[in-house]
Amino acid sequence: MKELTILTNNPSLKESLTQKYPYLRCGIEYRDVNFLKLLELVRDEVHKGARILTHPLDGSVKPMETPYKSILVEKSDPGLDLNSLDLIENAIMSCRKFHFDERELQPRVIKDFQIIDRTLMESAIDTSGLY
Amino acid sequence: MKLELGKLTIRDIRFSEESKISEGILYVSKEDLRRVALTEEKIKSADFDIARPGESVRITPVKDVVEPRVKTEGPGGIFPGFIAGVDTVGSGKTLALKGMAVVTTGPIVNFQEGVIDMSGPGADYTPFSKLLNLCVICEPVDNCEKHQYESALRMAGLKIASFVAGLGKDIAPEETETFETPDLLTGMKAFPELPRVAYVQMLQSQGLLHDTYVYGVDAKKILPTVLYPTESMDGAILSGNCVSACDKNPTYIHENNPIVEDLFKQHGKTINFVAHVITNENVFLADKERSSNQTAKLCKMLGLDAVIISEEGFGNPDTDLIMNCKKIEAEGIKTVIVTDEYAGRDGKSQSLADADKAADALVTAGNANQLVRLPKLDKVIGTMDYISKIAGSSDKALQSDGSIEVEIQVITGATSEVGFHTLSAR
Repeated sequence: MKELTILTNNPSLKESLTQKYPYLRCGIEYRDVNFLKLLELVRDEVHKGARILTHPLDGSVKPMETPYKSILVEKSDPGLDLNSLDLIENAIMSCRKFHFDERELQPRVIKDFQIIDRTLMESAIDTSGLY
Repeated sequence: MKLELGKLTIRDIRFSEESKISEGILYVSKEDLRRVALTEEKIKSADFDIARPGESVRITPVKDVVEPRVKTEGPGGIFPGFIAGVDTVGSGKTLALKGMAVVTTGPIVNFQEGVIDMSGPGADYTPFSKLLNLCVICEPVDNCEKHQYESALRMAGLKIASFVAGLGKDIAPEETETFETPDLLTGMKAFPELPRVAYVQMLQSQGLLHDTYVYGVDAKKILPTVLYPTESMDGAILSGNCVSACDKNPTYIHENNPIVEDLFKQHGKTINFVAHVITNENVFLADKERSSNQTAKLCKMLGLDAVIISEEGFGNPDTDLIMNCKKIEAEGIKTVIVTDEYAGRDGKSQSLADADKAADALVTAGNANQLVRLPKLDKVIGTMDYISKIAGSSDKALQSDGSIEVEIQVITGATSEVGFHTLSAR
């Protein structure tokens, strides 16, 4: 049995997605961790046999410039998916190379980052027919 | 397909009671412009300003840049699917107002809009500092969702550009350039000895606020397809992006794509420029696989010898770029990729998030992480409220003397991945 799960550190994702897609055919697991740690958690899942279905990097925001990331994975596939491992290791490497000043994000910016993360995931849900 | 592109250079823009173009001067009535902008029901108020090259002016946050164009002969209209119907464009005659642009500004997404400096060191990093910019500043209605605001501001920019271009419809162009692409069979017979080359353009399409449109269709929903290269000159591809400013393609760049123009210059001489292939950059990995498979298939079907592939954006599109490159090369077709780099502020880190040995010919458009100090300028069109929030900036960007220290990522068009910019290694 394949189990689809979105691993996310975006606190508003679950509520907004379940509102928009009442019949969403995948789980949403919230983890209260930073961007890099979320990627590492996804890597742990890959080592346990998960396959990554959405790209771990954003389309135009540098990793960690946004605090939020959501990644769709398919759990309980047997064996190690080398493509997924390659993808997540590259993403972690990309993430570590950027320089970031410590900063306090204003509420409206936090909201924007959450929206962008959500819309990327919605785009994947829409094209994959998971609703 | 043959397009005659007429060019009329605008030498100044002035606000006036009456809207007209006379002796190279564009006179516009703010009332006329406001009437056009307010046809968008999600726009509460619209204001306008003019920024000229060399002035101490900063425009921010920049949403889109549009070159006014109008069809003067032949089927269809500019910006098909939005302003005009969906007739196929790219043939007949088009008039472009050169030397100017319509620039839309508004804080849609706090961190994903750009900066255009009209003077100082920042001006060197953006091609749009060389233009007379008619700036459109729109406030949304209350409780307007971000994607509605984006759509309204995008449409307002397109409508104003079309209105302005319409003022020049009956004026004879100062010069005319002709672009012609024969059908496949004719081209093959005409240039049997020349290598068959196409342009593969990747379009940013990751989702709401990361969108590009083709004949009105959201590019994330297309299968890769083939255009005549002149279609984009009539606005068949346009930007709905609120993404990283340095390497998104504003609508202006789609209309004036330098890869298309350069390939035309070599057409019939050193190459046979066969087609403009467009593909997307989606989030779902299966979409990436499907689109790159289809792109490689089209390249093979077209009997190509070589392609130039341009990326838009960075991060996960790096994966699309490498998939396209690898799969097209696997069909025995040579590739050159055009991208920019996110190599860290010291330029020492790996530039792309993905790589493959097939990607052995690459043109770089610069390192988006390069730091630059932009002095305080006398006037701001838009607002500086978001300057520390834009991607490539930081809370420490604003210095005590009013200057800002930022990565060139904040500057609109700084590392344009179709080479429409001033950074060069030459």
